[in-house]
Amino acid sequence: MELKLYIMKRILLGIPMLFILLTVLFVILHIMPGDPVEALYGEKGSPEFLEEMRHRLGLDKPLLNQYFDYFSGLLSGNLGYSIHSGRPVIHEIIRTWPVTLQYCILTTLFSIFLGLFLGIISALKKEKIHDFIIRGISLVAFSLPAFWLGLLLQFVFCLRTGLFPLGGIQSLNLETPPSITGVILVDSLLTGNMVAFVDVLRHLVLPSIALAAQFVAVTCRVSRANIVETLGEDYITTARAKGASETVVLYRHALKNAILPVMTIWAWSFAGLLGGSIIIEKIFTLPGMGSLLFTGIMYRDYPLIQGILIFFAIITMVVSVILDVVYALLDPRIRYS
Amino acid sequence: MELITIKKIFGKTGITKIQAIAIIAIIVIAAIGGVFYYQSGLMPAPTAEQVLVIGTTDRPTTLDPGSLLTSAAAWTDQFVLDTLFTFANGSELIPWLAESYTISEDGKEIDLYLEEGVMWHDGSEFTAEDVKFSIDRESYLPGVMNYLITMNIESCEVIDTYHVKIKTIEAMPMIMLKILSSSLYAPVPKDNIQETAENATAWGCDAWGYDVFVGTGPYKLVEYVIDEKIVLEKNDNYWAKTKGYDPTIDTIIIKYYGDPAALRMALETKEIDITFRGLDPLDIPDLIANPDIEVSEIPFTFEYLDMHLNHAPLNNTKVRKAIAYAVNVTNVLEKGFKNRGVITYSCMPPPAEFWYNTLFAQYHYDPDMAVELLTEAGYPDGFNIELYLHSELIDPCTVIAADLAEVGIDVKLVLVDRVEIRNLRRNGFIPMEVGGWFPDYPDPHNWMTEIFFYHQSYSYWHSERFEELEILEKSASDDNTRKTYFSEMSQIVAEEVPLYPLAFVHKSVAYQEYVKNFVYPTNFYCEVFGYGYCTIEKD
Repeated sequence: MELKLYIMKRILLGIPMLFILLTVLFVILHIMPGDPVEALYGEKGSPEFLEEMRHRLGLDKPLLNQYFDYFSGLLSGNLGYSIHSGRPVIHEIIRTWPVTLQYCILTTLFSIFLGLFLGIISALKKEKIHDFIIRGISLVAFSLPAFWLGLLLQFVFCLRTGLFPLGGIQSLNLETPPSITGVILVDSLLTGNMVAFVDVLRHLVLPSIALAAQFVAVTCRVSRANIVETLGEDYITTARAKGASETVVLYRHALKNAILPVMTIWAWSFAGLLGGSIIIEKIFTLPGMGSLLFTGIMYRDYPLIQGILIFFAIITMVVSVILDVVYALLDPRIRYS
Repeated sequence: MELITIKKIFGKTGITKIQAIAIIAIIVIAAIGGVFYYQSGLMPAPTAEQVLVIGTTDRPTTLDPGSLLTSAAAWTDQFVLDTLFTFANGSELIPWLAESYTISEDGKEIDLYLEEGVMWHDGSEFTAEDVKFSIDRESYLPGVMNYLITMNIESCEVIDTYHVKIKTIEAMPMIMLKILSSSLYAPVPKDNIQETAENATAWGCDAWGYDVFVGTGPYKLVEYVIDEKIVLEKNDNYWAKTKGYDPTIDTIIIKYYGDPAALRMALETKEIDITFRGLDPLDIPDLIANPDIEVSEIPFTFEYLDMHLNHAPLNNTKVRKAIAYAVNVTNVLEKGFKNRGVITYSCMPPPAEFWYNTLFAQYHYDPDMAVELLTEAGYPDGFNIELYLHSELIDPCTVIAADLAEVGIDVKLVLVDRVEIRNLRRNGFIPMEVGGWFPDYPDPHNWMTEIFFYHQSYSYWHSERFEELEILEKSASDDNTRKTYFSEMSQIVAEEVPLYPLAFVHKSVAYQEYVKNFVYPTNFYCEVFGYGYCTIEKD
């Protein structure tokens, strides 16, 4: 009950936060130099035509009127139309988000399993050769910029060996599975199209690795430190004294406590990734939220940028609430009131 | 040894040897099985079908010609939509969906007699109503180039099922025919598009869904995944087959890439057969050196030194001539544009032989003559001036500044954002800049006249005679007469030097050596003839 109340409170508190965020965003976008109509039409439009287009888009109205127009639209669930594509912003988000979601999940899975696995090995083999090697690798992985690693992976695994496709979300000669959820990986499973499933997975592996490298490194380092610290606690000694096996000590006692700070990293990195990685999507030609945001920024597409950022803010809030709930479930000491 | 390693790795994690081996075995089996399953499903069955995969970075926002914001979609539309006129052999204007035409004596009325029995891809018939609808909708849709129709066409009237009358505001018959040869103004099927001026949003409406996107052209749209790919299939019932126009490629797949580096890699790994736009010019030498890849180039963007006469001493013709003599265009092309183009002595591209002239050749590189003219103009010690540029023009502007410094003109390079340059130009703050122009329609009127009329409002150059000739040239009904007017106009421009032509920079297409018979059309309005009519000859 306490938890339910807490969640309700968090959601209600999120509304004014969203409002403040959007107001700040609206002001920043509109005072930034550049004009969306000018950016779109460039040399081609006559001054009269540009003026007409500003009028059609409502950009000739005073800023306060534009602000109220935008918010009244939002209250009725309308994120507006993209200035660049002319399509509803909500359609653009629905179109691109599944692509981003798929590589975000893969990236997070990589960082959870690989990072945690390496972290455990490193902690258990503390100050031994395994530990030094893993720490060294994680330091290198953390230092590598994702775009550079992406290009390197592309060069080695696509250009030189041809093991993976260069980019895109699926092969050209494969038909897209019928859209059920919009997430091709899921749709291909639901329709039993395993070829499409493997194909999409193959397209997402390299971008996910490129993005995951830093998260794997962080997960590895943080989980190692936490496990090492937890293994030194009195209750671990007590457990061992009671005759608990090392497996029980590690998984039931040490890992459960050590994992909480690591979960925060996963949750926030997942939320951060859901906004889309502009550079990775550019390199791997993924038509996701990052590419969409890039286009929005390039063309000063106010409704599009605002729409994406609202979406991102909501996702961040949801992840934050979920994280709190999971904390409470994992750690009985945590109580929300 | 293997087990010892496994034990070492898993050690105290609690996973037993058997479990570890089982996990590894499952992963290996799944990976191998997955690869074989995937490969078997992915490998297309051997077929004689001609499939061409085109890669580009130029993504359309829409395929609707009335709402186009980039030329990319206009290019894609060439495959699906036919135009009223087209160009044979890249330069000869021929009637297309309009079987024939007549021009009124005053040059303001064009009667178009349409091909009969032409079918849209959905089986309905193409009629005069479609032509009228297509022209009318240009006025309320936001396409970047719609102004060529809305500013020039007064009305479009249906006379009968296969006959429309177009009235233009000014006499400009030959220009209008060429404008109508663009897929930007291709007829669209009226019955498929449930829109009106009222229900169209600021950016058009979604009334023309891609599931009903049909044309009368050589290819049908089969699949369009926004920002990813377009799949086109040959139209077996293409009406122009009887005229000998039957594409050789059965299926065209257009794939969009995020950046030039990805496009280049896609070409090198043979993921694509051919490129459209988007290659990095700096990659071209490497691609030329690659024995598996062919590169075709055509002069495309007109680059020129633009001088704005509202800034002294550029209002002095002798000063402008001195600048023309001082700039070494060979140097500008080699060092500034990395030899990716051809020098031009006219505002028109050298391949347009009918219209091309070499009047600007009189300003061959001669610093002494430049100094002499500056002295005559009252600037024996030169002067200071600003040259505005954006980031892509640093190299050519640096070369120009160095050349001008040789004759005492101290050039300050001012680097600004593209959008900002336009604002500054509009407000008359720019003395000099390097301009770039590629045509909206393939006609000298656009190559030369439009550039001056467009720039006239900003460059402050006026010539009454030039304006008189422009009206005469526009209203003439045959190209031979127009050419005489253009010659005189060219002489005026060469004499007054409001701009100085530098080069035509190349547009490049790279393709696999197994793509045969690809002819890169010099006319950008009919690129479909290059891509649709090549052949794939893989071993």
